[in-house]
Amino acid sequence: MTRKVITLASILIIFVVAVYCMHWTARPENSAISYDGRGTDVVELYENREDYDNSNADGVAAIIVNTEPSKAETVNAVASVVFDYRGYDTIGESFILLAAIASAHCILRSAKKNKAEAEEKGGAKK
Amino acid sequence: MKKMKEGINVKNIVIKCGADAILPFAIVFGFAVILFGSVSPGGGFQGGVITASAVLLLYLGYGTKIAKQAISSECLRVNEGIAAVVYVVLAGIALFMGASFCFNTLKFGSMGEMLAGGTITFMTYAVGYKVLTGVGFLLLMMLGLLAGKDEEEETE
Amino acid sequence: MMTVNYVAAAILVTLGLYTVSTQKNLIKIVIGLGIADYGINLFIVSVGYNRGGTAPIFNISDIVSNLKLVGGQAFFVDPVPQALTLTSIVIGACVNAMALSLVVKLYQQYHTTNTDEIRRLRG
Repeated sequence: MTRKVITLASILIIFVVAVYCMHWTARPENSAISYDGRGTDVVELYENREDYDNSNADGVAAIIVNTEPSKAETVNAVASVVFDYRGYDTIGESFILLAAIASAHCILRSAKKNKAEAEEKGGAKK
Repeated sequence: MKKMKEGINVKNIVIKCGADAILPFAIVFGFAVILFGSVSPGGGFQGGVITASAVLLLYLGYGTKIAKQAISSECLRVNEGIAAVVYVVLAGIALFMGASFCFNTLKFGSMGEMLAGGTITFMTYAVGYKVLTGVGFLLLMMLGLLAGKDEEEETE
Repeated sequence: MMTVNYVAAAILVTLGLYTVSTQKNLIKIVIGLGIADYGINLFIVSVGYNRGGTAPIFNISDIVSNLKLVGGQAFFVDPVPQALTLTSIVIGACVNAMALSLVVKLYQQYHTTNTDEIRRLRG
């Protein structure tokens, strides 16, 4: 009985601490790097791309969005971040996919062989 | 037609009709999400997983034996490695042209058209193909372990 | 800054931790691992939210005709956390695939999926 009480109490404490930490992390006055797109003038950015004044940018995302029409002329901003500004991370991720599928193939190859042997033994006994 | 009707149990006919109806939509929609990856929301990873659901629908409607006859797993395994090599070659082109790694160097149009993002568009195709074949091979291998139960049901 | 998303992410992470630590069935433990992963992904995406913003895609026809923008200014949400979450989702799927293949091998060796009995049997 005490085991269940201790489990429930610790679950509640972890939940309250998690909500408080997440709320504290995302408050705008605590996190210095945040992208507020109100200062970006998109029509002027589209027309003269290289001369856009980028000095009062407040974070990484503002710099990326403001230099995107001149460097990587893509309409999709997320695709340009994934494949152009952060292409090295995407190479690593596709190799994680390759490694996971290759190791699953290795593990399950002997599983198929054991299963076939067990079925043959069961059929021979019958 | 007679052969198909002999092999199918009555309780599976509804699932077979449902899989028949959804399968062409899944494949076409998945390819559309991959192809327009640089213009509209979506991209390589999302479209690849949508198209790989065709293997799952084939298994649900018809069983493992027919799914293995329709899609060969050796072909999928080889193509996954080819797509990975193509992706690395495309990323290394920018190094030979004097820019940083994975820079967009093959621009063929103005902003807003489909070929405007040069290497970004081709990288989307490569990653979409890689995820398609990889996840399809994984599903086919794991569903192939359940073959024993299906064969016992059919011979009874 | 949406509070509902943070509460949901905290619920998912707590549920995942509870499932991993108290359940005895192997497949339930693997499901708990996945649930904790999804909670963290939800938290990362909802950090980069601006109130009233649209999707981070340049709409060329609207820019050229200057229709829907208020005074010519755009209002995107943050594109960088969305790009990092894509990688995290793929990694979660790979971890699930490998864990499930290990569960298949364990079942073939011990013929049970109860962790108490696997600890006792030892081959």
